[in-house]
This record gives sequence, structure tokens and C-alpha cells, in this order.
Amino acid sequence: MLTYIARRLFIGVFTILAVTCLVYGLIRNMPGTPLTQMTETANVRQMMDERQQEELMKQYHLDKHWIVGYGYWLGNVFQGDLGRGINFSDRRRVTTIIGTRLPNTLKLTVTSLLLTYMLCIPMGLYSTAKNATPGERTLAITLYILYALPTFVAAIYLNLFFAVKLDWLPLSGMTSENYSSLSTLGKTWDVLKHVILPITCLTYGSLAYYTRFIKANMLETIQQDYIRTALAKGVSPRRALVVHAFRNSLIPLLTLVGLTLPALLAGSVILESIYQWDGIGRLFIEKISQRDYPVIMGLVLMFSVMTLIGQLLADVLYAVVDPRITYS
Amino acid sequence: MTVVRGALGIHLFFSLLMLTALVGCTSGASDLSPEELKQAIEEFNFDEGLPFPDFTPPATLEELDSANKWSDKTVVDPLPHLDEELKDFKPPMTPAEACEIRPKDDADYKKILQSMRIQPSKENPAEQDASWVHHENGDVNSLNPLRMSSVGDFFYVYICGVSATTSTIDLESVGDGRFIKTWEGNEDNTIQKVVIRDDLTWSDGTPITAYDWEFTYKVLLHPKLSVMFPALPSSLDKVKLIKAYDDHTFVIFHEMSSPVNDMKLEFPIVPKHLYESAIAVDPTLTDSDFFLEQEIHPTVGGPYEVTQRDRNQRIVLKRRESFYMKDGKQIQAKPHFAEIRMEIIENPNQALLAMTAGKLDDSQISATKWDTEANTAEFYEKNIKVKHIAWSEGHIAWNTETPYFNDSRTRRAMSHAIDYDAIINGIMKGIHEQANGPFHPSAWFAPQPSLPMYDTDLAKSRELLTEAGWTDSDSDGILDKEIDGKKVAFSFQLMHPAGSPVSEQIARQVSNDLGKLGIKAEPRQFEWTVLQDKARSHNFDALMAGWGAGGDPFSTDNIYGTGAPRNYGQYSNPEVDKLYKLGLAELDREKRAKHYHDIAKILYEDQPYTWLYYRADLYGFNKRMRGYQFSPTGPWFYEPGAFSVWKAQSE
Repeated sequence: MLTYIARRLFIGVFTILAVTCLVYGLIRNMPGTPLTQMTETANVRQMMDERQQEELMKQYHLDKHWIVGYGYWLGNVFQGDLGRGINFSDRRRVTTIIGTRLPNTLKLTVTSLLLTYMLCIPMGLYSTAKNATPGERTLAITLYILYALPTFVAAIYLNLFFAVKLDWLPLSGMTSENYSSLSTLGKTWDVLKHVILPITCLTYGSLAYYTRFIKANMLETIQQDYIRTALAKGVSPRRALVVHAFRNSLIPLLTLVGLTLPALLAGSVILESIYQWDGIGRLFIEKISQRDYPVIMGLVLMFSVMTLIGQLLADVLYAVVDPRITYS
Repeated sequence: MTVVRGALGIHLFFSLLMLTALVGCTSGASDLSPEELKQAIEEFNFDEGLPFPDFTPPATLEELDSANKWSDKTVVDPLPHLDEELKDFKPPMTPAEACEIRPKDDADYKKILQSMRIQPSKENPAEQDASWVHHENGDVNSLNPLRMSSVGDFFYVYICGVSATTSTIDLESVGDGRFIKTWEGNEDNTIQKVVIRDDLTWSDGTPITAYDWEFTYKVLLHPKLSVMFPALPSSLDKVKLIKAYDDHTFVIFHEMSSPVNDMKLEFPIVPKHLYESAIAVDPTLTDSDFFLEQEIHPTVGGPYEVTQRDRNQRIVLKRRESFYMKDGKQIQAKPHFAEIRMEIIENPNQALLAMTAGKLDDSQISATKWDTEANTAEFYEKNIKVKHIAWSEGHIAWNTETPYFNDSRTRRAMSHAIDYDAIINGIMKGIHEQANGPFHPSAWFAPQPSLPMYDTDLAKSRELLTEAGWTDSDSDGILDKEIDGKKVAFSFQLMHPAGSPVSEQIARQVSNDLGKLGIKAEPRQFEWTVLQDKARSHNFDALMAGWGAGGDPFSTDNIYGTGAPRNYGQYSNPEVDKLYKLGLAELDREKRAKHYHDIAKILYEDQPYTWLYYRADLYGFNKRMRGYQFSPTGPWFYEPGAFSVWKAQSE
């Protein structure tokens, strides 16, 4: 096992180096530079002059070949410095820029993931127990309709109904303007009100996938001999399903959790944009458009590391929960 | 199991090592003693960026006064000036009546704007201590006024900042009476003397002095800091020096005699007593505790101060009592709103929904929604729509260095081939009006009488193309021409920005129109940054874009001047270059206007662009909002602009 993990770690280092080098090369060779957008200002009379542009090019090593720029970036990373944003919209340190956005994204994605599991597990169990009944078919069709419904369309109708017509929930934003003056309970309620619509949109689409996933695994498990034996020994069908079969079906579900880790950090560009949610998804798109290399690289590094951790975690968890699996 | 745990630990250690960079590091506040700070300021040398280090200004005011003959320039106190202007004004209808209009044509919009122009009175009382929820479609870049570059930045600085001058609704420069007492210029306008008010204070209670202007000027031009300031240094081009002679008087020395010298004082200032040591300690202007705090609660000198900033969410501005009251006496006109909330909503659909739900008091509305979502009974229940033609335009730029468009006859042929009716009344539903050049016909610098619009005339286009050598020699349906011994087909790419359905439709229309002449124009959309990159490197055949209004025509020389930074189509005409130089130096308004009329006429003949339309400003206002008027650059950035807006009492 240790050899396996050591090998994965070794490969992981090179994977991260390869990914970051490749991405750096790609973004540096995309048309446009961080200065392309920066030199334009809202006032037609004003524009960055040549001297300013040259200074910025030097400061960010944009005047050098991309591989040299990558060398500088990597060197700084090993010294614990990811640099600072180039674009004038945010010149803070990359760590600060990412650090302030990450909790916002996690607030949505982690809650959505928990909610998905909380809803999918009972629905998956129900679908298994009532397989091929009208009730199961109705549930499956409903979930597939939701799966097919684009989030931006659902968001518009939810907004129209709950935010405009009923005025129960806020249209966008993460908190109300009077948030700081609210009591702890008031603050919790305020945050809750703001997350309901984005989390609903983020969650409903994945219900079909996870429910189907659980049902498929459960149907396979209930065919096993030990379930038949349990039933023959007088265990109730409900107990056989929930305690005996479901426990074993959890194994692939656990590995899925590990693989979901990078997605939790990535956020959702569309929903963050609709709900003015200050998260990682919007940041990534915004920075790609601005060609803000240091921030893009910071995000890529974060995603790469978390993907590797997630995959390793999934493999290791698999071995931990299933004694049949060994990496020796 | 232990093995697994151990191995996991190793991996986590490695990952954490890789992520150490994500933990970040911050620099703390300055712990320097006053002596060390003083030394740091000296070492920083704020004079380092002065463009004319050898220039020695007169040592005293007396010396300066004796060498110059001054003439007064206009200084107005915006709100009292507006009250005076509206003294005998009779609106065509009451605001309540105007709110019932569902505008159908320009006459309706005019009526609404005229009726809403009024200021609070006994008959039309304002709500006391009202809040204004203003929509911004993007966050500010920074609350440091020197770092402004986006529209949101301009709005914040306009509301909270201090500038010596501003502009009228007709975009003429005037002194801002809220901050200065007098503004004088010498005979050739190369030296201007400004006396500021003596009752101004920063929000920390420190008096605002003339030294703040001198300091800000030096900061903006300092070589170690310039990369932090995207916009403002260029607006101080050709300024030799700004020198404070005493606490209340500063003088600006210009390199050349020019009427645009009056615009150089529009920059906002920062407090020297705070920024001098802060910059010396932290030239990044971002990392130190001081600058971090300034991004949340900046020290301001204007009528409002920031009480709350939630990045990408909102900025709350509160009226500053110390701005308009001193020792229990009112010293300035009291701003109408107790609070202005800049609510940031980037998604245009969400902004419109918020407007419809009555959660915003104003919002810009896109042309695609003007006659649809913004034309419903729900929208009109709480809101009113206002349209005003701005001096900004939409065009197709022809790359004049390509074999297709290096001949003005070909470019004129393009302009005659386009079906303007299909674009203006079809695609744009009559919202915007057809354009005939870079200057809007209502501007003082546009030719009078106005030049005729280019009409759709395919016969004329064919004639011009034949004259320019473009014929269908091989009868393949595509025009061609022999250039340097090679046959070149008239087939080019029409570049336009991605994500704009209107641009896409116009590009398709133009492609169809040109197809009728045997020209193959292939519409290609590009991401905005790629498009800009291609435009700047002149790597395109034809480009659909638009320019906003700068107010004074002198700035368009960086679009049409030979080799100018924004001359993407590489247009060059020595006569135009000469006229721009003359226009920049001419102090007599009529003679100056003549130079720009001539430029417009030459551009009309040369057609470096095909000008398609002048864009209208489209806004929704809550029915309780009053006092808004539009300058050619929109409703906010002139005197009193945003400050003339107020909210009526609820019924």
C-alpha cells in the first residue's frame, strides 16, 4: 500500500508540474495579454501610456519567453508566493483573492452536496424497493425532467416567482445591506434566505444522477447471495435493503465523494453570475478574460492539487472500507 | 491501516507544501517612528516623476501675479446654480402625469425628461433623509480615487471625491464651486491659478489644502507608482507642474497654450497628510494596513463617505454632515440623499427583475430588453423609462492597410451598400439613430448644416467599386482585382465581439448587403480580449465596434490621427493630423470648431469607418425619482448630474 501511495505521490508531483506548465504555456500563448484590457478605460480621453505598459510588462515578466515566465512563477511558488493580481480590478495577493472567494463557493457547493446526498439516498432506496412500479417511474421521470432543465431557465422562473411575485427571497447577492447590524439569528436567517435559490438550482440537476447511481448499485447488491440468505433467515425486506444491502452500496458512493472534491472548489459560473455570488467560478472566468496570469495559475494549482488529493483519497477510502481491495 | 494512514499523511504533507503558497502572506502596518517615516518620505522622493525637473516656477504669488494678466474662468456651485436656472422653469406636466406615460416616441421621452427636471419644492416635496439605490453592473476597481478606471469607479469618485473642476451638462469645463472659490487663466491659458475654499475638510477632520493638489499630481506621475494608475496620468499629459503657493492657492503650469488645458484639473485628489507616509512605506498601494483600510473606509473630501463595502455586492455611501455644516452653520447645499447605495448586479436579467420588483431606483437597460421585458405592465407599475441620445457611436472600422480597404472609393462603396433601414429600424427597432460621422450632429464641433447620411445606393457602390478596380473578371460571382500581379478576390472577415446578439445580427445583415455586390464578408465573432488584441495589432480586415463620448473632440485624434494608439484601422491623412494640431492649440471657440468641422468633412469623404448609429442612453427610473437630466455622456458625470437627483415623498 505504502509503495502504491509513494508511487502515486511521485507521479503527482510531475502531474502538477506538467499541468501548471501546460496551462501557463497555453494562457501565455492565447491572443491578448493582461494589458489588453487594462489599457482601455471607461473614459475615452484616458489611456495607459507606453511607459506604464512597458513597466508592467517588465514587472510581470511578460517581456520574456513564456517558459522563463513559468520559471519565475514556479520559483515564487516554492517560496510560498503566488504573486498578486495584474488587472487593476484587483491588485491584491493571489492568495487573498482566492482566499476571500473560496468560502463563498464552499458555502454553496458543500451545502448542495449534502442536500443532494440527503435527498438521493432515500430516493435511491425507494426506487430500488419500488422498482418498476408507477411510483418509481414517476419519480424517475420527474428527476430526468429536472436533469434536462437548464439551471439558468429554472433560475429565471424561481426568481420571478419567489423574489419578484411573492417577494419572499432576495433576487441576488450573498447578504442584505443591513447584515452587519443583525443579531446572530438574524444573520443566519439572512444567509439562509440568500442561499435558498442558488442552492436549489445547484442541487436539483444532480438529483437524477445520484439517485440513479444509488439505485443501480443497490439493484446489483440485492441480487447477491448474502441478501437472499438474510431474507431466508427471516430478516425483514426493509432491514435487508437498508442495513445489509445499502451498507455495501455505500462503497462506490464514498469514492464518488473523493472525486467530487475538485468540483466543490470550482463553483458554478452560471449560478454565481446569476445570483451575484462572489465565488471561484466567476473569478476563474473573469480572470481568464482579463488574462490575469497569476490568479489563473493560482486557481489551476489549487484545482490540480485538490484533484490529486481527491483521486488518491477515493482510492485509499476504497481500500479502507472494502477489505477485498488491496494495493499490495 | 496504519500504513495507509502514514501514507496519507505523507501525501497531505506534500499537498500542504504545495499549498503553502495559498496560505499567503500579508504585510503589516508601518511600525516606523516619526523620524524614520520622515526619512522614508525623503528617500521616496515624490519629485522624481516631474516631467520638467528643470522648470522653475515663480517663487512667490506676487511674482507670478506681476508677470501675468489673469482673467476669470467660470466657477459654479452646482445645486444653487441649478435652482437659479430652474427659477422660472415650467415643466410641461406634473411628475405624476409623466409617470403615467408609456413612451412611444422621442416626443414622449422629451416630455418625461422635461417634467422630471424639477427640484424639490413645497408643491413637490422631497422625502427627508431618503436612500437612493443605484445600480452598477460591476464592482469598483478600488476606492482609491487615483486608481479609478471603470464606470463604477467614476460614479464613486464623482459622489465622494474632490476635484477642482467639473463640466456642465453641455460638457464645458467649469470650476466646481463646492471646492474652489476662483479659477483664473493667463492670456494664453498656459498658467491657471486656483483658490480653493477655506472651509473644506477631509472626512478625518483635517483641512483640505492646495498642497493636496500638488501632492496628488506628483503621485500620479511618480515612476514607482504609475503602474497602479490606469487612467489618470494620461489626463495630465502636457502639464508641466502643479505648485501650491499657500494653503489655499495652487497654480497649474501647462506645456502649451490650449483650450483643453481647462480639462486637466478634473482629476480627484487624495489627502497628502495620510498618503505621503503611507506611500513611502508601501508603494504597492495595496498591502499595508492603511491601504487595506482605505479600501473599506476611505478618507474622502466630497459630500458622501463610505460606510460599508461588500466586494462585488454593494457600497453604501452616507451623507457627510461635516461637508455641508460647520460650527452649526450650513456652508454648502445639503445633498438630497442621506444615503446612496451602489448595488452591484452584473447579470442584466437580474438587474431588470430587481428594477421591476422596485428594488432599484435606477438602472441602465439594454436595447434588447427595451421593448420587451422593460415594456411590461409589471415594469411600468413601479418604474418609468427614459431615453436620450448620447454622443457615442457604433461603426465598422476598415483596415486601410489591407488591399480591400486601402482606397477611399472602396470604403465609400461599403457605406453605400449597407441597408441602414434594416439595421436601425429592423434590428435596433428604431431605438438608436443613424450616424454620419464621429461627431454627433448636435455637438458644437459637428459640421452645420449636418452632413447628409450615407444612403443605401447599390448602383453608386458598384460604380465606386469599378472605379477602384474591383470587377468580377472570372464571373464566379465574387469581385476581384489584380494586385501586384496576383488576382485577389474581395473576400474578407468582418470581426465582431462575441456575446452580443445585436452585433451578430448587424454583422449578418452587412454580410448579406455586401453579398449583393459580389463581396464575400464573413462575420466572425471573437472573445472581447482576442478582439482587442487583434484590433491593436491591426490584425483584421473589418471590425465592428463603438466609441464613447469624451466631450471634447480633441481626444478623437487618438482614433483618427496617424499612428495613434486607438487608430486600429491605420487610417492616415496628413490634413486631418494638421487640423487636430490646430484644434488643440486654438483658443477661439469658433475658429476651433471650424477645424473639427473640417476634420468631420474629410472623414466623411475618406470613410475610415462606416458609422452605423449613435447610441441612445436607455435608463429605467423608479417612479419616485426626480431631477435627472442627461448630458451627452449620460445622467451622472456633469454638474450637478447625480447630485440633482432626488426622491419624492411616497403617496
